[in-house]
Amino acid sequence: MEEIKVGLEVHVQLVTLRTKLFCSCSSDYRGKPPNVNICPVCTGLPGSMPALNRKAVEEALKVVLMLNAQPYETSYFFRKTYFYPDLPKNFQITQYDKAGGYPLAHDGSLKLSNGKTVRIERIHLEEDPGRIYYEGSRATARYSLIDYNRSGIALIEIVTAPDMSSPEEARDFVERLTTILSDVGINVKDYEGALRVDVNVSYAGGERVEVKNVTGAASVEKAIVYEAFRQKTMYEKGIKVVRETRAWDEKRRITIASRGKEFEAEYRYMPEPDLPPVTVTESLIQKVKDEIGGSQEERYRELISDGINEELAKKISSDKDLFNVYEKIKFYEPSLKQLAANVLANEISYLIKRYSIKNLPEDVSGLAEILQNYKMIPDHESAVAYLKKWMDGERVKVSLKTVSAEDLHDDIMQTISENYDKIKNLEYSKKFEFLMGILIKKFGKENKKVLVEELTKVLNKTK
Amino acid sequence: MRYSINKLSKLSMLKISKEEEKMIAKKVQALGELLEKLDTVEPPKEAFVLAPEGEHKRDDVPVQFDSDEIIKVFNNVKERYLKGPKTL
Amino acid sequence: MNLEGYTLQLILKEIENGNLSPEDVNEFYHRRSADLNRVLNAYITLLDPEKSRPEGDLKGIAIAIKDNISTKGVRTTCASKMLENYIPPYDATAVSSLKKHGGSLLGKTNMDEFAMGSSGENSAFGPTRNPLNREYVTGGSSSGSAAAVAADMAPIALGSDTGGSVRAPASFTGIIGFKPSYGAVSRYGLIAYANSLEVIGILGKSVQDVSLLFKMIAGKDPMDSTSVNVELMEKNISKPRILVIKSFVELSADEVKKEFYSSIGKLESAGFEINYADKFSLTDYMLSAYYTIACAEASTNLSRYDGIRYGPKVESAGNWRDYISRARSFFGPEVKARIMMGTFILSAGYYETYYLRALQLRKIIKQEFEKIISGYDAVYVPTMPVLPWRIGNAIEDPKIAYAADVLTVLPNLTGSPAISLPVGKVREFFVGGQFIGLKDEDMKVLKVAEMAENVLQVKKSGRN
Repeated sequence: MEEIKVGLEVHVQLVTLRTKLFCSCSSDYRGKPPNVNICPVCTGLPGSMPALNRKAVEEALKVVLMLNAQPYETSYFFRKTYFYPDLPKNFQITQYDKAGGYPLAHDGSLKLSNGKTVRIERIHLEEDPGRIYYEGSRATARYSLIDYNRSGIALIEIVTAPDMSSPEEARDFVERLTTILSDVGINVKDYEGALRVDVNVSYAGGERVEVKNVTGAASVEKAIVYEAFRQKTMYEKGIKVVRETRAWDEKRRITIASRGKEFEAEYRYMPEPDLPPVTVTESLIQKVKDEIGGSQEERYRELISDGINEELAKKISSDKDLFNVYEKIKFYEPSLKQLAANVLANEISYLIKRYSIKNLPEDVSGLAEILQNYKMIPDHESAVAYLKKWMDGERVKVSLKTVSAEDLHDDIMQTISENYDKIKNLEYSKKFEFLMGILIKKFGKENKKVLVEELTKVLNKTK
Repeated sequence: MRYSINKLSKLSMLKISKEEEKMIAKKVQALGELLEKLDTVEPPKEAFVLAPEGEHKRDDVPVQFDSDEIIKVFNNVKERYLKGPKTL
Repeated sequence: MNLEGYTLQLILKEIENGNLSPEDVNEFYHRRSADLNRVLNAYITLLDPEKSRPEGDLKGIAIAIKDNISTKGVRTTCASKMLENYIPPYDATAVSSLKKHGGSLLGKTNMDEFAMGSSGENSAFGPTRNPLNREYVTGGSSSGSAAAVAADMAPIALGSDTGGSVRAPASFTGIIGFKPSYGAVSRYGLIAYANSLEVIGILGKSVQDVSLLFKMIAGKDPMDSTSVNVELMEKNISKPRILVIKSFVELSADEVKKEFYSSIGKLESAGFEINYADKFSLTDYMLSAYYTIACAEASTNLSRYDGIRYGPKVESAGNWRDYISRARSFFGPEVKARIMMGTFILSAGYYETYYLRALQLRKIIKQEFEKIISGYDAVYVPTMPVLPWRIGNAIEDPKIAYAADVLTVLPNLTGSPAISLPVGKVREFFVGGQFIGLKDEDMKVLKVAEMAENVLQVKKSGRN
């Protein structure tokens, strides 16, 4: 197979923000009735003006730093003009790297699982358009139905160089990026449509074709597989691939020629006169750095240097929450770190998935208690139950006064005498069962083994 | 200076009637003559943007606008959706 | 009761003294406006006087507002068929500021469509007629605001100034027109024509009147990221130092020149220090830079008018592109011409040739202006190079209207405050002169203008 070249333009919603990019409307639009989070600004009413969300710049900078990109000291907003009913002003406020403009940041990179480095050309801020719905299909609907709740939501666009050479690499890029985003709290997986990709594919050095609006890593891979196949077929038939924009049809899993916007080449970029430039100072970068903490790679390295094996380290480092718990336990009681890594990577990971648990408790003393007494917990089932209790935020006390056989002897004798009337006529096995019930209640399951041994001894003696 | 009224009206999505055409052509011509003076200006050595001054950002705190007031402005509404033209 | 010639300050004083009630005042202006509007066409929408009397400095007095400034619940047309039935759901910040100070709405005034024009003829609702001679233009684009104030159909009015749109009609109708520094008054709610050039301005009967209103609407607004706080303390100037740019005066018609020079003489004998600069080296390029930037910004600003959200309801047959084109045919010819020119300027390949050069020129013009004005309180030049023309003349030859902006665009390019006042009289018309200051020194030009007004006494209303 001839070489394919893939470049991505990844649009990420800054889901950690509470308001839109240029107005104070709530950004919480999913599952809301249409057109509730709207105002004169995000519906483009005459006379309205944009006002930049300070936190949007900070959140975007987190991603910039995680992708090793260089922020420009001064960047500008531009108007990108095209007519479409989901775009209320018929221009999108975005950033531009030509015509005197500078985007938020440039020249970053991301390392794929196979060790290859993908260059990131630029990262910029822009606003999301509204959404269009149709009754029935787009082709047959007599009109469009427009919802501007999404209009003006803050996006960052991450533009890569055409450095990926297979559908798998592109998928890996999106997956790695998703992890990096979650490292800074931008959990795109929890929000439908929060990560959308425009995929540029060229086959055998031919013209590049842009496939717009692919959602999620798996679909990115599928879209490239299809598009590479389509271009390969054309190439082999001697048909020239033309530079064009296509759309990804998720249902049919094919790309289709997009007839949406005829005058794409004529975006008529110009600086947005209503917005001052964005300035990124050293102190702002420092502030953002302080908020970020480390990357997955840094976490992984730390786990390995703690002597945790690669498999566990990989699992824990990929989830910032798990790693944070590990760190806290390590601080609490260093000797517990190996056990903590085990439990976090296995039992706790399992429970997170099984019960869709969103956040782990801040307070890890309950978990420390469980880990300290872990060996005494008689069976795996009880251990998991304790862990679940901690994850649910309940108080955990592992009642393990490890009792010695001698201590138990008196207690058993006492229990027998107290219940003598009830057991005197019972046969051995019934008697045993009755007494065990009482004793387990008193000493806990964790002492079952020693209780069984001691009770057997006592009953045999008194027989 | 090369432009065609026809192409510009298409790009700007403006329909121009027969009656208007002459008058608009005259106005565009007059504006075009003003622009031509710029041909003699030394182009800037480096492209730059003349942006408004100052630092001006807003806090990330939601403020609810009465969206029903916006719905009232809309031309055609169906169940709170704005009814727009076909997009094909 | 007749309030002809009353300034806003006099009205407020008379209310204070118990000689007038706000109801009487509003009733007077409303009745007179309803009468005169049939001939002057100053208002697009005239409102019934409000019953309730708001608290505050303005005591409920109704004010005329240009119809490109958003008023909640009151239709705001921009004098365009495109917005004929558009009712904004919010007030422009300047309007809410006036309301907070106890002002109310008298009506929405006629203008050149989307503020594009310097004569007041480009309105979908018909031209505004000059109260000084109804066959002549009022000047624009704030034509209705100027005519209303000049004809005592309003005590004072808000307008907007993108390239002279407050000062030109003030000059043509013999009143005061003040264009504040860029950003001194919030533009939030002002329907944009050319964002980087324009500002809300005030048209009134005296410099003190416009100064009073300016202080009420000035100030940084979180909704307008380009707004700033300018100094609002009264300035004390004993001997104004004035610079006259000769090359500007020389661009004017003889009758304008003559009156203007004679006003200089009067100012000089009253103690003004007059200095001369022979030329401003970029005079020839100011209009080119202005129209390039204005058209470029306009073409993107006006993209939003597509009939989908608001504006004309058009037949929905065909696809979205047909729909949008049909809706956008509701723009008038001047607007269409400027949108098309702006589209051309911003299109690939021409951006560098025109737009970037215009920005470069603007930067140099600003630097040169700052250099030339240093050491002086204000630059003094005529406002309009010509007297009002007959309605219809500029329609025949659009160059007349474009060329008429030559003396007014400078402060818009530099962001400077500028105020026009009547400084001479030719037949029934007045000659306007403007004082231009350094950006954000609004109180200084207001002070100089007030002193000049006292010296020149061109319009003796006798009721000041």
